[in-house]
Amino acid sequence: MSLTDAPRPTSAARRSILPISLIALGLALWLIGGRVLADSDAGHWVAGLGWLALLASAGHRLRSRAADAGEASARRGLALATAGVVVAQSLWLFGELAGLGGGGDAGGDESARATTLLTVAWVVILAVALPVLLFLERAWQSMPVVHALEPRRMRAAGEAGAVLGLSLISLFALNYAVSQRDIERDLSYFRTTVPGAATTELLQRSEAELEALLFFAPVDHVLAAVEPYFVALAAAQPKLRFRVVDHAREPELARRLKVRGNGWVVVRKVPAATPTAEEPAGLAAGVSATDVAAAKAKADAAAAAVANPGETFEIGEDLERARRNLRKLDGLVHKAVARLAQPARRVALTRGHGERTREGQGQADGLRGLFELLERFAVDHEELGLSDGLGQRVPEGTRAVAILGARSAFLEEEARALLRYVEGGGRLLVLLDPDAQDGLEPLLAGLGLRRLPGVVASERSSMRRRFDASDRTILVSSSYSTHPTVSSASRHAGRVATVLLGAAALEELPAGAPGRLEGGRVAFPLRAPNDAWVDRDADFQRDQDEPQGRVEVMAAVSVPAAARAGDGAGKADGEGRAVIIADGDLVSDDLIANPGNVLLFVDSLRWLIGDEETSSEIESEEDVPVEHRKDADRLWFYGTSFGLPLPLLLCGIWLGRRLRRGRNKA
Amino acid sequence: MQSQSQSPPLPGQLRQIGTLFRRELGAIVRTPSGWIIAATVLLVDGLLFNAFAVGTGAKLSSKVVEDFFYFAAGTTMIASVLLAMRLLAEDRASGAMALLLSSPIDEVAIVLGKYLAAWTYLAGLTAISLALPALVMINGKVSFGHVLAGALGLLLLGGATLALGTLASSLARSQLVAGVLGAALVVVLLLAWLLAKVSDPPLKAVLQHLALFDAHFRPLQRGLLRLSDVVFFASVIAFSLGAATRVLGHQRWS
Repeated sequence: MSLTDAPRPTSAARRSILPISLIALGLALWLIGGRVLADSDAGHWVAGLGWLALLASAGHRLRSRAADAGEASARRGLALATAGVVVAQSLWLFGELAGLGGGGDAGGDESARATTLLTVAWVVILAVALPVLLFLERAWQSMPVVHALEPRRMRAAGEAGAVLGLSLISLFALNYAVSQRDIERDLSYFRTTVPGAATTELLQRSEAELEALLFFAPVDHVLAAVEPYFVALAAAQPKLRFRVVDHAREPELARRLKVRGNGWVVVRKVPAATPTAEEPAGLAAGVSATDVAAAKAKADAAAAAVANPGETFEIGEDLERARRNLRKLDGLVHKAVARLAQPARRVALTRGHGERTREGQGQADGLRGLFELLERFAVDHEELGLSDGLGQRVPEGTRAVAILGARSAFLEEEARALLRYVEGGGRLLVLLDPDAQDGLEPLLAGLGLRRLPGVVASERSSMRRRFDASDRTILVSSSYSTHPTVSSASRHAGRVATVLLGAAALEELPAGAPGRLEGGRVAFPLRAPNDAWVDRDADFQRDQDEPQGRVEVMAAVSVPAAARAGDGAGKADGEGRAVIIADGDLVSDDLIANPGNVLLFVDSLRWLIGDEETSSEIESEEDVPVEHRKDADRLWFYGTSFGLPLPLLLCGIWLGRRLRRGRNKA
Repeated sequence: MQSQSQSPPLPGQLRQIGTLFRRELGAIVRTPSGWIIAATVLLVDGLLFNAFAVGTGAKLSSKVVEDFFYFAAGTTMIASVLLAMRLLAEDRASGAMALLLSSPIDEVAIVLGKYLAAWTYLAGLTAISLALPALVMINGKVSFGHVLAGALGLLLLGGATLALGTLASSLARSQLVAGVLGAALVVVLLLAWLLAKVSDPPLKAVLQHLALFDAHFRPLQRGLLRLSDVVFFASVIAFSLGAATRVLGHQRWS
């Protein structure tokens, strides 16, 4: 008899599907009772019926008569696996009936512990027993002929199920353990900044101890991003300490500090502790000493808050919205610390000569960014004009004077007053426009400089903005010297460059030139690009009489101080300093976003004021917007959409043709 | 188990994996369909990148990169399911699986060799598609770390989806059924967060943790690299491939 002629197993010889049907029914009833009808009493009854179905399945296995020892062993294995599922369900039922299934909050820690143990127990037993049962059942069903039962196959199936179940439990345990001890690194530009060198140095020099109050709920995503910054800062500088305050728990403190809700940070000087030596009166009335001390500490804190409100800034509670502030957190903290930790520094800004203003005449030439920068470095500013006595002298005590791109003329008296101020040890910053009739020639001559007529232009090192020849006057230069006014820019010269929107050229006057201050030293920290020339006829073309060569666009002048009565109050015992930048737009809103311009301005300010802290860098992760429009940039659109897939598609077509040719040849 | 006790020592098993890996990768790249799938995925990636990630208005560059990874995750998962559905089911339909199972090649080697080949192909696709976020660097500010985290996320998400598809492919008799089953498994894990919303503890926490995309890919998409996410994806891959190996081992008996 051939194999194909062998009789197929009869229906009597086939495995009964009753036990597996009972198991399916039991599990389904368990699910319905435990989940769908969980809120009603019927749920327990339905789950109980499921339990009975599972028990019946196990009983059926054991009750059926086995043909031989192999079958008896297989039946035992199946019954054991079913019993495992029954035990798991029994534990679950016990928990439910004993009232432990609802999370265990009502009964306290003991109940919670019992619930956890019970849950873990039934989940683990079910996770092992169920795969074993399913694998055994599958193997059992696939061997319908009684005498052809393979015990090894049954054993292998049982082992496979157990391995899967145990590996599932192990992987869940591993995942749970890792999630409890998670390690994370934020690699995006949206990350919260780390404490910068400027902030750390500022804290180090601070005489006062500072305290940061983080107004956040105890569990908060934004707090999780903010706290590591303060942990790092407090570790680097013990002069700062911080604590998390929940607005809901300390509304009085929040009110006094004028904090409207969570998501705010207050930096303040540490309030002096009030001695608590006297015996609290509340003790006699039965109030505990701890309560009284806590109340007193709160009262002290509130009183201190009134006297010392500190610097406040908002981060936000919503993580998405807070990201903008998180990435410039170091800048915000630096600003707050600078205001608290160091005395005010004041710069006088000249007025009345068409100087650039905060709002500006157009959107581009405003100085909002510059004023924010000054605020960040705690540099206050005041106005200085003819009515403030500039026609005679710069007022006493003026730390520095700045002329931000004057467009109309200074009186000769004003220019000479400024020159005397520098000579007397004063500090002067001048942003010049080319060909402007600003009347500053006597001042420049006194400093040993001359402004050449015309605008500096370059063919290669210029930016394209208007797409015509006038773009040649938008210079890009990273030709920095080693002078302190450009030390940061010079350090990053490979990555940053200064942009000038129409700059004048400066030239040093010979020593002994009429009007030049004696002993003045002139340095040129920034030079125009090598191919630059001075365009005298404003045609933006280089003519025969406009040679290329070394063109200076910035000068730093040091003059030995010769104190004169009533002329400025700079540092008569030191030297007068002046920085002349031959572009009135250097720090306009149009250009201040450029790091090369900011670094140059900040370093110049530092050199003039003589403070080191402004030179250190603030950690900031300001992103820039990207905008591409299909209609405006077709090359970009088609290049990115089709540039990558097209070569692959061609490769596929070529391969297909080659294969077809090969088949045809064959 | 019997199949494990008869399996050759580790270097031999590695050799088997290497042989199957080369054969499977060759089957993908030596046929036009492999290139056409790659071209299609990149085309869809490019179009989605331009239409939605870059968009028409001004957008912060890190947001552009984040959105690129969001859309690329979708194409990667679809490509993974399509790749995985044929891995074992195709051999079973053509009868090659019977030959493989009757050969001395261990089922671990079969599953790993085929899976690694498909994953390598997917990794190549991901690497080419990274040219798109790299282009954002021209006008924007993109951190390498962000791009690397996103790429790792795509690789892990693709690897997990591929492993689930491999498990489905080991269970099904035809490629179509394998594809549908694989997609169903992936969709269940994608929508686990929805199920978590209507579940009670402790199932709620389990379902929340199982949310493949929402709980574990989104942080990587934003540039946040977390050990727990990497371990989760590795767990899904390990369990799915382990289960597929057991299923093949069971089929060896049949």
